[in-house]
Amino acid sequence: MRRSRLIKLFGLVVFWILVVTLNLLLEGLFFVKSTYRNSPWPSTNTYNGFYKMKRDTIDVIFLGSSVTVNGFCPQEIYDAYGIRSYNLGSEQQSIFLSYYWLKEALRFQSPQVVVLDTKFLKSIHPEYPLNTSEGLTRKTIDPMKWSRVKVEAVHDIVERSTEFASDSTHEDYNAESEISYYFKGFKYHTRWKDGLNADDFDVHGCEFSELKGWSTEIYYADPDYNRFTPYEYGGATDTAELDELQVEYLYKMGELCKQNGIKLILVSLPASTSDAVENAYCNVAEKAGAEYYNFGEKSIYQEIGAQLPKESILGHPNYWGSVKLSRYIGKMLSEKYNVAPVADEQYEATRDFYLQVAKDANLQYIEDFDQYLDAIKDPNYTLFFAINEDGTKTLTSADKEKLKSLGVKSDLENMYGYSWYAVITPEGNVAEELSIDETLDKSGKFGRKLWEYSIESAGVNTNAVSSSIMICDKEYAHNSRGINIVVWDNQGQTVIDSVTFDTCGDRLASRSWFVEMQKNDINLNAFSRW
Amino acid sequence: MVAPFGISFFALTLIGYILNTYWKVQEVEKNPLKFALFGTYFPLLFSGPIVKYSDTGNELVKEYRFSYQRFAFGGQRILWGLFKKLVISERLSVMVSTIYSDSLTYRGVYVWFAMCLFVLQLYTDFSGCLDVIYGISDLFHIQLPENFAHPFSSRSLSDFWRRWHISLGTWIREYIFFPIMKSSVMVSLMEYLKKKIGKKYGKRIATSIGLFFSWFLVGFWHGGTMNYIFGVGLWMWFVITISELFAPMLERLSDFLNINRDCYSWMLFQRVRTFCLFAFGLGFFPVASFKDGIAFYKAGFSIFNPWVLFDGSVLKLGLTGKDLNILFVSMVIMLIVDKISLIKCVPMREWISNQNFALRWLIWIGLFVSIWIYGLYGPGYNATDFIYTGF
Repeated sequence: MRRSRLIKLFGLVVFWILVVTLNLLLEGLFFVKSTYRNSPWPSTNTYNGFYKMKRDTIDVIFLGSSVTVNGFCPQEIYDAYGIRSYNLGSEQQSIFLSYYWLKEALRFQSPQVVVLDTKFLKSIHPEYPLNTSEGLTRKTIDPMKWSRVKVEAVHDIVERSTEFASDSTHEDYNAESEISYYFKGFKYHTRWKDGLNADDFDVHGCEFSELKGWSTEIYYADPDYNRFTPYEYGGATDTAELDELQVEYLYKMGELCKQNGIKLILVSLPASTSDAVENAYCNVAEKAGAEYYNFGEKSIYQEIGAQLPKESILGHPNYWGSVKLSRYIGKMLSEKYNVAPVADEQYEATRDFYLQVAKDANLQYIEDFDQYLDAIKDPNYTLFFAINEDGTKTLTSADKEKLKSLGVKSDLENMYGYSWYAVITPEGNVAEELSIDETLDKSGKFGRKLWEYSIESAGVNTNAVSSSIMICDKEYAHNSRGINIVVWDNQGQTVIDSVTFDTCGDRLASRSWFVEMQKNDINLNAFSRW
Repeated sequence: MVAPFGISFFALTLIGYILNTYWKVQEVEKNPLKFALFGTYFPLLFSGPIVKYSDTGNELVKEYRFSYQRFAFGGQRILWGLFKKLVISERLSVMVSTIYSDSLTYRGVYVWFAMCLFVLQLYTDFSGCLDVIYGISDLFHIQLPENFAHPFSSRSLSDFWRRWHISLGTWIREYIFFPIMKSSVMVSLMEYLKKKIGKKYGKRIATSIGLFFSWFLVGFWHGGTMNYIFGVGLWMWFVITISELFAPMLERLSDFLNINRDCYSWMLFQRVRTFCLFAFGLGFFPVASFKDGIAFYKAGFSIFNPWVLFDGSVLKLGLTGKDLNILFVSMVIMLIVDKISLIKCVPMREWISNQNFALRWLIWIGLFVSIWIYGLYGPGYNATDFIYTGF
C-alpha cells in the first residue's frame, strides 16, 4: 500500500515537472525571436548573447534605438582600440527601456562608460505610454532573464500602460496584461495560426551574438535623397519640449551611473535638428551628469570623416559609415575617457565572423567579373549560376579557369546561345547542366537545413530566353542577359547578392533590381541578421 | 437594465434552504459557520449548480480521507472544462456574435446556422464552467449534483430539460411548480376542470397552467426581458404542452403510417427535432429584446441561401480556416468523449484512469497542450467571461 502511494506520488511529481517543462518549451517555441535571419535588429540574439559574455568583461555599453544598433560596432572598436564593448540597443528602444536594461546589465557587468543615444528623448510615439509600441517593448524586455529587475520593469510597464489606457483621450489604446509577461503563452500562443517556421525551431540560432549586438545595412546612401548639411549652432536660446517620462528615466540612468561610478555619455546621430532641440539635450544631459555629443555637428561630423554616398551615418548608419563612427567613438573612449585596451578571447574569437560580414557587405559593390569570381570563391557561400540568352561569348580563358576553380564542370568554350546552370555548395557541385537548345530546369535542396531551390536557364538557341533562381520560394535572379549569379551565405542562411554579368557583351554588372528589393524589403537585408 | 433582485444561483440556493426549513422538510442549521460555508462556498457563486442543503450541507463539512484518484479526477475535470470553454465555446462565440450583430448582412441560412451554433456555444460555455467548478470541488473531495446529463441525447423537450441545467429544473419543480399545484386555488381549479371536461383533460389543463407559471419564471430568471421570458420560458412551455396534448394522436398516426419508433433513425429524428426546438427558443438569448429576436428570425426567412455554408462564406464570420478546423476536431473529440461515457456509463476520466499510464499521460498532456496552443485566451480575451456568470 505504502509502495503504491509512493509510486503515485512520484508519478504526480514527474507529471507536473513534465507539464511545467512543456509549458517552458512551448513558450520558447512560440515566443517571437528576432534573429539574424528574420530581423534587421535581432534583439533576441543581442540579449541572449549578452548573457553569454563572461562577467565583468565589458567596459562600454551602448544603449538606444535602432540607430545605435547600426551605428556602433563592438568588434570594430575592439580591433581598432582594444576596447571591449557591447551594443544593447534595440528597435525603438525608449530611454525607459534603456534604463531597465542598464540596471539588468549591471547585475553582470561593470562598465566604465555607457553611451546612450538621444533619439527617444523626443516624443516620437505619443500614442504609446512608453514612447514605443507594445510589440517593440516586448521585443526588448522578453529576452531579459527573470530577476527583480525584470519584475520591476514589467510592473512599471503595465502600471504606466494601465494609467495611459484609463485616460479618455486614449480610447483606442488597450492596457497591457501583466500576466502575459510572466506567461508568454498568453501573448504568443496564437502564433500557430500564422504557422511556425524554421526560425521558431532554431533555438541555437538565437543564442549568441557574434557581433555583440551590432547589425548593419549594406546599401550606399542615395545621393539624390541623402544630402546632409552638418549642424552648426545658431545661437538660439529656446528649448524644445522633450518627452517627460523619457527625461525622468534619463535622470534615473544618470543616478544609477553615478552610484556605480560609470560615465554616462549622450549622443545624437546625424539627423535633422535645431538649436531648441540641442539646447534641450544639453540641459538634460547636464542634469543627468552626462556629457553630450551630436555626431551631426559640423566639427565632429568632419572629424568622423564619413564620405557619402558610400559611408553613411545618416539615420541608420550603413556598414561603411558604422566603421567610421565606431572608430571615432573608440578613439574618444580611449583618449578622452581613458578606457584601457584589454585582450579578450571573446572578441578575438569573433573577428573572422565580422570580417566575413565585411566581405559580404563589399561583395555587392564589385563590378568587375574577374574580381567577383575571386570574391565568391569562399567556403561560406553556395553559388547559383544561370545563363539567360547567352553568357559565354566574352568569357576569357582566365574566367573559365576561375569558374572551374569554383567547381564548375562544364567547358563553356564556344557555347554561344547554350542554356546552362550550376549549383555549387561548399561540399561541391551538386547540380549542373548544359544544353545546346533546350530550356533547362532543376529543383532540389541544399545545405544542412535542406533549403529548397529551383533554377532555370534558357539560352538564345531555345528561342525563349530566360533565367530563374528561386530559393525558398522567392525569386532572386536578376534575369538579364549573361550569367545570373545568386550568392547564398550559408552561415547567415540568406541571399547576400544577386547580379548578372553580361558575359555576352560588355561584361558589366547589373544588380539594380536586387538593391531596390533590399531597400524595399527591410527584412530581406542580408546583414540585418548580424 | 438592472437584473431582478435575488434571481441568481446564490439566491435560489438560499431561498430553497429557507423554504425547506419553513416547510419543515429539513431542520434549521444552528451552526452559523456551517451555514455560512454552505451559503458562500465559492465555486457555486459563479454558475451554480443550485444545491440543496440536504444534499450539500453535510458534504461540505464531512471528514474525508485524501484520495489521490479523486484529486486527480478534479484536476482532469478542470482541464476538460477549460478545453470546452477556451477551445470550443470561445470560437463558436466569434461566429455567433458576428451573425447576431448584423442581421442585415447575415440573413437566411446564416440565422439558422447561428441559432444552432449558439446552443453549442452555450452548452460548452456553461458545462465547461461547471466542469471547472466540479473539478475544484473534487480537489476538496466535495461531491456536487451534476447539472448536465447528455442533454443532446434527449428525444423530447421535456426530457431535454431533465438533462439540461438539472438543478434549475429541480428547483423550479420543487419550489414553484409543486407549491402551485398543491395550492388551494389550483386544487379547486383542477377539481372544477375535471368535472367540466373530464379527468384527463382537466388534469392536463391545470398542469399546463402550473407549468406556465413555472416556465415563465425560468425565462424571468434568465433575464427580466421578454426575449428571455419567451425564448427560454414560454416557448419551452408551449412546445412541451402541445407535445403532450398531441402525443396520443401522433402515436396513432405513426402506427397508421407504419413508422418504426424503435429504430435508430427514429431516435435520431427525435434528437434532431429536440435540438431544433430548443435552439429556436434559445435563439432569443443573444438578442437585446423580443422585437430584435423577431426581426432576427424574420431575417432567417427573408432569403433562401443554403450555398453560404459551402462557398467559403463561413470563413468570413470571424474565424480562419485553421480555427474552423480546430473547432471541428474539438467538437468531434467532445462527441467521442460523450459517446464513450454514455456507452460505458462512467465519466470518461474513469475510463481513462483504467488505461495504461502512457495513454493516460498522452491524453492529459495532449489536452493541456491543446488548451495552451488553441485556447482563445490572453490579451483581448477574457477567459472568465462565462455566459451564465451573468445570472
